[in-house]
This record gives sequence, C-alpha cells and structure tokens, in this order.
Amino acid sequence: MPNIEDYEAMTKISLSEDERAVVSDYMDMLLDSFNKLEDTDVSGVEPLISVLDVKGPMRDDLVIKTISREELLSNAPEQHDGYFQVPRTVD
Amino acid sequence: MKYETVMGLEVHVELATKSKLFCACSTEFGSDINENVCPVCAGMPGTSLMVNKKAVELAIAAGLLTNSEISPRITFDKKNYFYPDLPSGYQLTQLYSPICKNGWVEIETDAGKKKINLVQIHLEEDAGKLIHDDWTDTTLIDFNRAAVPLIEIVTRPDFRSAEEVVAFLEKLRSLLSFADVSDCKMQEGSMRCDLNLSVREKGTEKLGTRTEIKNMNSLKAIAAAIAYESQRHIDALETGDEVLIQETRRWDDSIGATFSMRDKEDATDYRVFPNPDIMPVFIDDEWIDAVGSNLPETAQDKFIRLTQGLGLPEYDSEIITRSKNLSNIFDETLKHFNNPKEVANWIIVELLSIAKGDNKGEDDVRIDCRKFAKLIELVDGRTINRNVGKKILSLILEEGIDPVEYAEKNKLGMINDTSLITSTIQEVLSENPKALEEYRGGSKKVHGFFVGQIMRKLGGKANPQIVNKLLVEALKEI
Repeated sequence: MPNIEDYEAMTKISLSEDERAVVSDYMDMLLDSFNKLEDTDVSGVEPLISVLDVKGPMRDDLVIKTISREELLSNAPEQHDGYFQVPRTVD
Repeated sequence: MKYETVMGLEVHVELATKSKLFCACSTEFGSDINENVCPVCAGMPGTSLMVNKKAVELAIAAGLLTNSEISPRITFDKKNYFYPDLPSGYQLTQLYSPICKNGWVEIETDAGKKKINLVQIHLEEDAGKLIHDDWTDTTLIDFNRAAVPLIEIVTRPDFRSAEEVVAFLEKLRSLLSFADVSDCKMQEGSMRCDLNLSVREKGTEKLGTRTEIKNMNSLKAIAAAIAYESQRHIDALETGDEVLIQETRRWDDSIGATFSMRDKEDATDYRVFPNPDIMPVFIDDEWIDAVGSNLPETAQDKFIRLTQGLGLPEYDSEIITRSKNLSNIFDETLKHFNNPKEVANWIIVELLSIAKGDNKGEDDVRIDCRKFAKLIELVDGRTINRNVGKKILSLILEEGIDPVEYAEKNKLGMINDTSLITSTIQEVLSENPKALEEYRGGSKKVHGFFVGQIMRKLGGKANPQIVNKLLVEALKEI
C-alpha cells in the first residue's frame, strides 16, 4: 500500500505536514470504503467497464482541423516558438 | 562456460491512418509544431473521445498477418503517469483486453526456420515529442504525435541471437508495410523497438537478470546493442565485478554502449484502470473476414508471382519484394510497359544506383512510373541507347521531364547510320596514330579507347553494337 509520500511523488504535488494529516484522513476514509469491496465474492464476475453494453460508435478516418495553433496555445502559461514550454524534465 | 542470450521484443508501430486514434487531427509526419492538435488530444477536460475505425481495422490486419486470435470485444485503459509528453496525464492503452493474442511469426536465418511467438498486440496512443532546450533551459513540447495510433507487438522471450531479432523485425516490416498497416520507417520513428535481454548458462532453465534496452533507431543499432549488452552480462557473470540489476538502459549509438536510465523516483505505479469514457468496441467475425479479404498481396505472395508467374530470377524478385515502395514502382511501371525483366533491370541497376548516390533508401525513391515505362521502352526499342537512357532517367527524377519529348527535342535518337559511323571510325583512327601503333603492338585495351572517342564524336548516341562491329572490321583491315 503506497503511503502519502508515494502519492505526492506520483502526482508531483508537495504537501505541508498539516495538509498531509488532512489528506491522510480523507485517503483512509476512501480506502476503508473500497476495502469493503474486498469482502465481496466477485469470482466469475467480469469487470464492468460500461453499463451500456452496446456497440460503441466509431469514427471514419477523416482529418478535420478544429482549432488553430494560436487558440491551442492561448491557454498555455508559457510558450516558445509554437511549443508549449515547461520546466526542464531532465538534467 | 557457454552462455546463452535470451531476448524478447516490444515493437511499436505507428498505424497508417490519416487521423489520430480518438480525434480527427492529422497524423502527418513533419507538420508545423503543434499544428495537428485539438482539444481532445490536448487533454482538455470535457472532451469526447471516439475510436478511429480504421485504426482498429489496421490492428486486426496486423493480427491476421501474425496468426493471432482477435478479441471479440476490446476496451481501452488509462495508464497514469505524470510527464508532459501526454497532456491528459495518462496514456490510453489496452492492458486488460488487447486486440490480438497468441500470434506467431515465422523467421528464417542461416540456422533455419523458427517460430517467434507473440504474447499480444495492443492498440495505444503515441506520446508527444519533448525537446530539452539548452538555450532557454526548459523543456519544449510538440503534441503533433500525441494520440497518433500505435500498435505494440509483444513477443515471448524466444530470441537467442541478434540475427533472429533482425530477421523478425525485417519480416514484421515486410508483412506490415505490404499490407499498408504502417510504413514501418525506423529512421522516422514509425517503427521503434525495445529489447529485453538476459543471459544464462546454456542448458539451464532459470532466466538471468533482465535489462530493458531503449533508443535503438536502426537494425544496425539493435545488433550492436545486443552484442554490447550480452557481453556486459557475461562479463558480470564471469568476473563478479558488476552486479546486474533489473533496469532500463539507453543505447547510445555514437558511443556504442548502453547506459542506465534509472531516475530518482523509480517507484512507478501506473494505476491502470479501464477508461469508462470509451465504449467497448465489438469485433465480429464478419468484420474480421472483411478485413482479411481486403488484405493486399504479401511480399511472399508477390515473390512467388514474380518468380513463377513472370519468370523473373529469384535475385531480382528478392530485391523488389524487399520494399513495398519498389514493388509498387515495379507493378505500376509494368502496367505501362509489359516487359518484367527489363523493368526489373532498370529498377535494380539504374534506379537504385541513382537513389544510392542521392543517399536515398529503397523506400524513399519516388518516380513517375508512366515516364519511367516510356523511357525503358525507348531503350528497349533501340530508339535511344542505354547511356542516353541513364541520363534521361536522372532528368526524370530531378526535373520530371517527359522522356519521349526530351529525346525528340534534343535529337537523342540512336545513330544507326553505318556510313556515318564508318566515317567517324576512320576519323578517330587517323587522329590517333599513337593508339593505333599500340593496337598493332598487340594492346587490346585501346579498343575501348577508340569506342570512347567514336561515341564522343557522335554525342554518345551511336548504337554501341554497330560501333563495336564496324570498329572490329576496320581494325582487321589495318
């Protein structure tokens, strides 16, 4: 079972000690709820992915341009020469 | 002590669809930065994803070509990871219901034929491209490639040598490119492969410590990486100087070595779960049969057609069926000039040597097949000679000229006029007394020199057979 620091690492969110205590409590509540499922016998039951077990619609392979690059980048906090720009991910 | 290398592959192949896996953005390679991105593949909240039918069909085709079982119902799963190459924070892939299972591909090496078993083939989306920019000291992201459809082909650890790995990848490339599933270009990244490798004592069952190698961009690099990594494992087992650990390593082609890729936070947990936003896709037998019956000719079928049907030598057929592009050029040219042997010759001898000079591979040669056919016909019908033909071929490739018009306009027609050729021969002989002296002295080499001089005077257009014949006669009389 991962501890709170593992979750911080996976989501790249740093918490203060106070926040950790609060989040930890919530996580315990969540996990307790889910753990109740462990008591249920699900042998032979297929996982349910969609309640609508009908044929999902598919697209034909057509190209449609919906937004311009300017629109796309307009939400980006940082951009550079048409690229999204983020803090360097490797040394 | 005798060692054995045990390997398995994960091959990623970009599918040849026009649009992305879940949205209508273009998949074109080499577009402007972030030009082919929409709210769906940019991971905006509230967007609706719809599966590209063609991508599913190409994955079914890949399954049929590799003798796989096709799953009747497929779903997509979220593989969660926090990295900026995918804007949604997860990759859509198929952990729980891969589209194809339990296939196999037969390969042939010097050691004979062998079956390579496949665990599965699954559909997934590609990631965007990251550029780590030294100038701004930031990471720059181009999402054009994000959500381009891929299949990942996972083999069992059935490989024992680099030859087998290379033979498998060549076979896969042939199968998939001939069926138009993918263009399988390793240099453009439309076919990429990761390798799992371990070494054990020959005759033992237990597998050794496994390393995964990434970043090999050519068959040559793969063979070199296998040689390097096997030796690294053997050295570690022999000397005990290094303890092997299960890890991912990156091949550096310029140095010729693998390097550990472990980062500080290796506790990756992808928390894969089914994506409830994408409805299951059902694949019935009718659909599978339709895909199967529309599959184009495989390289193997084509080889048989070329050798047995058209009577081409195995050598020629082998070269032409090695590349989907060459074999398309062959078929298309043959439609306009029905002489298989000549068309094959012109492709293998002339077209490929020009391509090689231009640093182009077999897959990158492009030619107007109608013009190519006309040119071959001009040479075959002795309207122009072969050397003139070669020059015209270069001009077709460079400038797109029409060979018939060009030959007429520049009066390149072959000179068959025996009296003109005879008088030119006499001219050349009288202008070169020294060479003639050498000929009399028994030097046969000067024959070629005379031919060259005569051809030069006639603008390279003389019929070489007639020149040869008349020159031999003229020299006899001297």
